[in-house]
Amino acid sequence: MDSSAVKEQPLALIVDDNAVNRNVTGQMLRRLGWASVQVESGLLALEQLKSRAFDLLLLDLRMQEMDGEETCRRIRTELGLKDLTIVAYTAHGMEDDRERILAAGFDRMLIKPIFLDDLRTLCAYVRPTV
Amino acid sequence: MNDIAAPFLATELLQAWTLLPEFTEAQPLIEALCGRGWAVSRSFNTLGEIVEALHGTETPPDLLITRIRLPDGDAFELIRRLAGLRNAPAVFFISRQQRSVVKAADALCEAHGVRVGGHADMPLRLTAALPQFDAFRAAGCQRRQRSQRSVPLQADELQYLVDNGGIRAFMQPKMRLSSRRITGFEALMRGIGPDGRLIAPILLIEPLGNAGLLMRATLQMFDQTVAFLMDCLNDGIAVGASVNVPLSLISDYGFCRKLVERVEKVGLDPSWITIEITEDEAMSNPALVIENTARIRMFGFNLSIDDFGTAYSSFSQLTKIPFSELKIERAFIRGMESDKSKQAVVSACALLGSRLGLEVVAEGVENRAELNAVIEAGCSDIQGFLISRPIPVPEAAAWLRSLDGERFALVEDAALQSWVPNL
Repeated sequence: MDSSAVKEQPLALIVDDNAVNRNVTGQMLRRLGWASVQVESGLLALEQLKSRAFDLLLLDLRMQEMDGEETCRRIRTELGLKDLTIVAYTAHGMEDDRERILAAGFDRMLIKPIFLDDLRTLCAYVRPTV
Repeated sequence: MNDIAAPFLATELLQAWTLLPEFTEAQPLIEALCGRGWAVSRSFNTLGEIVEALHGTETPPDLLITRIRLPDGDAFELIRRLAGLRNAPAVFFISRQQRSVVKAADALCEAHGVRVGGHADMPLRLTAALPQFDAFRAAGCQRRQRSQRSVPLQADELQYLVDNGGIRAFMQPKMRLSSRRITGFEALMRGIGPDGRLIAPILLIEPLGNAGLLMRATLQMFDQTVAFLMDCLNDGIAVGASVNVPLSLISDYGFCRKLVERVEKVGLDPSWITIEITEDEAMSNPALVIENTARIRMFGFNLSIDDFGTAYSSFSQLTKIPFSELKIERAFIRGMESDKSKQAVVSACALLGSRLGLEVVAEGVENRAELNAVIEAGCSDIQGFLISRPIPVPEAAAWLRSLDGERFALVEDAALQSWVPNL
């Protein structure tokens, strides 16, 4: 892979405290032509976002330490990343909480489990040319 | 034993009785049947006579050929009387009734567990009627052969299966219609006997329940399903799976904890697993249903209502219980393309499901015509022989990997090409 190809490849940050989910999401993104970085907590996500630019952030809402909503608020306010696409994913049945969740600064919501087609649609929305 | 049984059965006569009062074409029909492996051993003219004979000492026949209107009653009463019998005969209707009345007779048979052998309109056309008798006879011979083989399992045999890995999850894939991708599997219970013989669920599930072994068997199904999912997910293949659990087990808190422990042990997010609630008497108690289903959701599993529209499941339950999926029973799907009332039921279920944000799965889709009909009705997913029969776990894993991007290729794609996915 040459360096220009690397530059072209969009990059996602996956934040989930479940290793199986991180792995399967990362593998699906790779099939869709994306690269990804995977971390297991909101704090580690903040670290990553300080150090490099991402095209997409996938954030599990239910995490042990700092939850997804808190993480998202801090990304928007403390890091000032207003334009980054941040997607919440969560268990089925949270539709009633959609408004509150989006108010925390999320652009979209996905319902777990996430299938390849969900990611395909999302990736096409974020980077239509890939 | 089987090689002796088969030739014997090939020449065996099936017994039929007739209840065809004032039916002038009875004689040609009886003669035609006698030349096709049937023995029409008795003929009656009234409901009273036949009921008396059925409750007498004679062995009931395989098939009862009857009119729907009778001089002293009707076939509906006859069906009800048959329901109480051991070895109740199947029923063949000959009538000039409107279609809805004949359908009602079929439905009543189904409700009472009485088999329908076929139908013919009056005036009788033998060319249309006789193939139905032939088909019934062929199936009847197979049925006898099967029932000879499938002696009910004894408690110690069931115990042996549960103790020695004889309970197996067979996986039946589920396809999302919008993308034709396999998004999940339903784990269906099969037994493998000590002789390697496959044991059908009908011989397993209820007997396991009676023997007090259903919890262990269900946990074994669950374990195999979890292992299958971990194998797929670790390989980057995102599929879920569902496991059938009777409500009576879910009401046991200890059982639910065991499910949670099992997913936590391997680090599987429970949202990959759907618990399919199978209907039992407990479904008739709304408070109990709500308590137990809410518990399943609290632990993070998804929840599906199986066989929606039959027995106890109802519209009101759908709004109260946090289901994520609704499964439409195969009886509504079978032959749906030529049955307007089935189309109406399936469309209504699909609309209701989609408005409630649920996936709507059509079960038992076996051919193109049914596929087109469920697409038309608005279902989101299908399951059935058109995609695959239930297959053992290793085969399912290999099958999934053999697909191009988990996408199932239907042989003739005209129907789906004309249909624009709603992504």
